Amino acid sequence: MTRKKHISNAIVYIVLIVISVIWLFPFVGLALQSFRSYISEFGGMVNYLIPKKFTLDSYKFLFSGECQFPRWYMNTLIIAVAATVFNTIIIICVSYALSRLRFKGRRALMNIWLVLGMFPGFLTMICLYFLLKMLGLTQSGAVPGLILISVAGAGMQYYVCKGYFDTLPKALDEAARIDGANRAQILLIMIVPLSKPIIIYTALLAFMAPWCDFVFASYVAFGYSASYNVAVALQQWVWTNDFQGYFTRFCAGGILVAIPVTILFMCLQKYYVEGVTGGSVKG
Amino acid sequence: MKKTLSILAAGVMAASLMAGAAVTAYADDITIWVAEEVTDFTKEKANEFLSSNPDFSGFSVSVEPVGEGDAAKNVLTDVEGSADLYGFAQDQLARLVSAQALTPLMGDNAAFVSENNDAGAVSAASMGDMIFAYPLTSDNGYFLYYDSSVVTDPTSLDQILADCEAAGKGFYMEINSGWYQTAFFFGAGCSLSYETDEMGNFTSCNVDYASENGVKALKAIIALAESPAFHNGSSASNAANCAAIVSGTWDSSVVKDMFGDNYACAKLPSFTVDGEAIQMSGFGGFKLMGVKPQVDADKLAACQALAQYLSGEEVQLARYNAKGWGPSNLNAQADDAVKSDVALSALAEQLAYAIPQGQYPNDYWSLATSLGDSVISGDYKDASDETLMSALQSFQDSCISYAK
Repeated sequence: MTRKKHISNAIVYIVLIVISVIWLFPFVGLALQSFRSYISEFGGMVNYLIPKKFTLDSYKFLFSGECQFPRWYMNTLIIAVAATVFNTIIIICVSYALSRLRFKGRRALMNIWLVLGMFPGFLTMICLYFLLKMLGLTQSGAVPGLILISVAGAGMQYYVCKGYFDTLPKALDEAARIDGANRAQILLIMIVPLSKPIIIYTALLAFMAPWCDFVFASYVAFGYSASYNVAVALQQWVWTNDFQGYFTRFCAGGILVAIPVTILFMCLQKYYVEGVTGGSVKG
Repeated sequence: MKKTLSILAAGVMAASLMAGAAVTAYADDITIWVAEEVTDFTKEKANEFLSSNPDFSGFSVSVEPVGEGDAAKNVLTDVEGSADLYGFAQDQLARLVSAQALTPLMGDNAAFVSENNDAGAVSAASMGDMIFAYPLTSDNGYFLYYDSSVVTDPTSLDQILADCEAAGKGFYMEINSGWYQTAFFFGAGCSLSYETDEMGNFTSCNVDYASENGVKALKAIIALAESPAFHNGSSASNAANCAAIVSGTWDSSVVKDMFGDNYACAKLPSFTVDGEAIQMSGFGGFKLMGVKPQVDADKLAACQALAQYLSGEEVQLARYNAKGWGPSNLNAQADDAVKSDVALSALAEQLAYAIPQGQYPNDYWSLATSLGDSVISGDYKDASDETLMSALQSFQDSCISYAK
């Protein structure tokens, strides 16, 4: 019996190791390449993985003033942080209203939003572009424009959060009402502290979308490099012929983009899992 | 209901006011899109021009790096929002003209272009009888870079492959690109060109790929793809373990670093089919600078003058000295420094065999890519002449169908 168990364990571990090697390879490759110097070695793609000498040249380049990387990074950060704050507030408010208040057309509204939310956002891209252009929010105004895009439809992503609110007993609300609290006080003083996991989950999701956005960012900021986000700026280093030998610098930029997300997820992982499962108890 | 409507209407008015304000704020700013490599160069030259021409003192310039290969894609996204002047590769001319994204040159401007540039560059900037852009370079073609310690005879493709195989190194050529493929087809004597009208529409197609010559060319491509030394690719910075690569002057500094003292250039080699040696041909190409149609006549005049300056002899020569871009201006071409450049000389030698690149529909490029891809994946390995002929026949039929 134990022998059988050993064998099956061995097989499982071998499979797991093989899968994790395959899965980790691109990340390790990216990290290793980013330490190859584009000055003393070669900045393009090469047929070996481990750099002959580890240097920080590629990282230094990003902050040397020869490119606008700090600017792109700030753009991305501003958009992502603003979107996170606004999205979270809007989603909490919408979810609370849908969970606690009863008004005419509530069901219909929820259904319509759910259906609208099924359409991929970039279907409306061209319309949005011209709308933003009329408002002066493209090219040089792309950063506020992109914030508007990510915030505008936020309320439609109410369902997980609303599901979580539904699990909180209504008796709490009623007790507070009897003690004289108004709706806003109930939300801020009672519901929000009880819903930490779901709020963190909502905020993380809201952060990730603009942080990784390429499609909208490339359209709205097109041809105006000071408004690029990191994804748009970095992709031109690998895709256009004008940038030869920028591969290691692209890798370095990619690592710097991954760091804050990694830290965020590591710190908030506990809440994230609770958040994902929390809303599904009752929906 | 009435109230909501009036609020909406007010909102729309406010928005259009804002839009108007946004447009006027940028009216005196001339935006220029060029390749990243020459962004600073262009900025410096454009500012020099503005400061030395008091007529245009009210204008300022801002220069953005936008690749010339993608210029049409970016401009056509939103012509109104794109740059006032932009550099682009000449194969995009037809698309830009049909989208009315280029101001046609009249009178003196047209004469300036046709008198000062080589014939290939002028025809590349023209559609019908009309000139639409200012030539910047005549260096958009490809030739052979090789490592002289590996390749013993750069004039024969078979010898190059044999040398690369013996040294365990790679020979790079992007045979799944409609641009590089023509080296074989045009070399074997085939032709493929499109007629366009002044609106940029394709009216007819002259093609004879489905012929004995076409089969020869395709056989040579298949033979090349079967060599263990062959790699599909044309970007030197992505080429690993490379001893020879077919690319253009834009790669010269990367290749120089890669090959070091063994850096050498030559015209394209000849390939051998059924014992017959055939010199490779290919496309010759040009970079152009276009002026976007303008509402404001003063601004248009400033843009035209600036484009003329940036494509003139002095700036072309300075651009060659700073960045190595081969000039299209006849006087700049006659300069000693330009004449003594190894890569440019190899290109000049190759351009004698090349066909000046005309306008091709987008579909052609994807069709050529799929033909190249099937060759690379081995679909035509050991195929009979009949199979190849029928593949080329369907290629040819597709090409013709794009011109209707």
